[in-house]
Amino acid sequence: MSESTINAADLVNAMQQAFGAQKPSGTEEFRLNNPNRFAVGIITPKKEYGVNILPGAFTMVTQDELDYLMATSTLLRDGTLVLSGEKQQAIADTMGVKIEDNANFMSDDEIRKKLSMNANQLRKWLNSGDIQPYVMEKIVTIAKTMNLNMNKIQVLHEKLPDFDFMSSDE
Amino acid sequence: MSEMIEIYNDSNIVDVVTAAARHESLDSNVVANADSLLKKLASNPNPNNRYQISQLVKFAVNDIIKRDTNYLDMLADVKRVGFGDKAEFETKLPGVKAFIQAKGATTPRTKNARKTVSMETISVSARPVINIVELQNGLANAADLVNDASYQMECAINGYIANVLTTAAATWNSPYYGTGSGLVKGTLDPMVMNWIRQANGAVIFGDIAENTKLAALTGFQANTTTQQYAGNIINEQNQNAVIGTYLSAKVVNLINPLKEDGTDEFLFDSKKLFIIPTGVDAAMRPLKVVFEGDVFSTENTNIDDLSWEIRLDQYFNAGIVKGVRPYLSMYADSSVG
Repeated sequence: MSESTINAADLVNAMQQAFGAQKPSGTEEFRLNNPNRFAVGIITPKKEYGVNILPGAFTMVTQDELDYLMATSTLLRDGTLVLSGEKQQAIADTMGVKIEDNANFMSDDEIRKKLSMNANQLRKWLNSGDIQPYVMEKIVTIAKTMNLNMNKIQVLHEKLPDFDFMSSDE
Repeated sequence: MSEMIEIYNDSNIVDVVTAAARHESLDSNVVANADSLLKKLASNPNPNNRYQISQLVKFAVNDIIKRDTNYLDMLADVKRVGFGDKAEFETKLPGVKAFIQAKGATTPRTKNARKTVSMETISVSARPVINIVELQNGLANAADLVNDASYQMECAINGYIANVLTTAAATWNSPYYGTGSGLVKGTLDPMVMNWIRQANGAVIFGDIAENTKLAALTGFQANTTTQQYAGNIINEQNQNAVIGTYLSAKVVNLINPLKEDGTDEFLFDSKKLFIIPTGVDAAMRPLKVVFEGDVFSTENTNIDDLSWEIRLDQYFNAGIVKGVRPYLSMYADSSVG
């Protein structure tokens, strides 16, 4: 009788075919994005030596890792790191964070829309939540491209007095 | 007629009251002499004597505030100017450029540019009140008054400066600002290395609670499950709670007092690490601090409630002036607890 051999990879393939190729539940991964101009590091039980997420880059995390990050840091709560798609809303609901109208979670276009409100509405919006300094800086940088009137610039200046509103970035 | 006592900035009693306010050990004879002089002044609270006591408090508070804001020389561009003078801070902007071009083509003109910013001052002020009868009977303790007033004024000054710096630094980009859910080596190291490369060295300046986490970043991974540490790092950490150097940058602890008596909240955010380049002129630092004059005092007696009050003021301000780049980096640890 001829002796047949089977290697580990073949065995895994055979098992995946037999039981379906889906990953075990709880290992689904989500895209965690860093939309900022600075690097953000995360440490989770799976990434115990830490992962550096470069500006504009992302890393994949599991639900367990998200739960861990929610419990041990403020990065998800204050919008420093954001998830893609509907997962962001689900995580915000879990944390009890309202993301509608919240500057920390807004895209550039949404901020631009807010900046086109009148000065009083703008002041009310800027004072309505705890806007992170780097988000405030992003708002002001966008404002510089919009030719705003002096009243609105005054409102922004109150929030970020050290920002140079007059110089260009060139 | 009783003799006129006059107190000057360099009078011995100023040193004694300053030392007592800082809870330093003092020779009992020296304390007794100072006490008797104070009692002499207080027992006869005529306008001159009250003025001399307020002068004494002013000199002592001024000494303490100057000493306890010394750390700013390491972190900021500090200017001390006289009353009415304006401090001007100069920062370099992107300057002369060179161009690769065709022979004989006109070279665009570029200027060696600098930006000068002047800073108005604001006031930090305290107004302690003492019952005049207590003052007269020697029940009011000058050292306690100096300690409380200087502590509160220092907290106000340092809190304001810390807020200016941390708010501005959080708007900078990599490698001048970074954050993480803890101290993440992959995020922190490029920030330190940036200054090692650009400025030939750096100092890591932060609260001991954050500095102590640096030791854990020094290990190397021998295999997938084990992190190994050098023996001297373990010993150093055990002996001092912090390691002396990290990635060749000296690690320095920030003195972080409690915000207010009765609370466990510290004045400075203990989750921030500052990476300060060495070998860079202080004038290049983005944090600009100005002190206009020394602490000054005015005093008043209120006939309605028999109170005697001193008002102490120090003019100062802090701001951020960023030229080509901020010559300072800040790492914010976003972990909770």
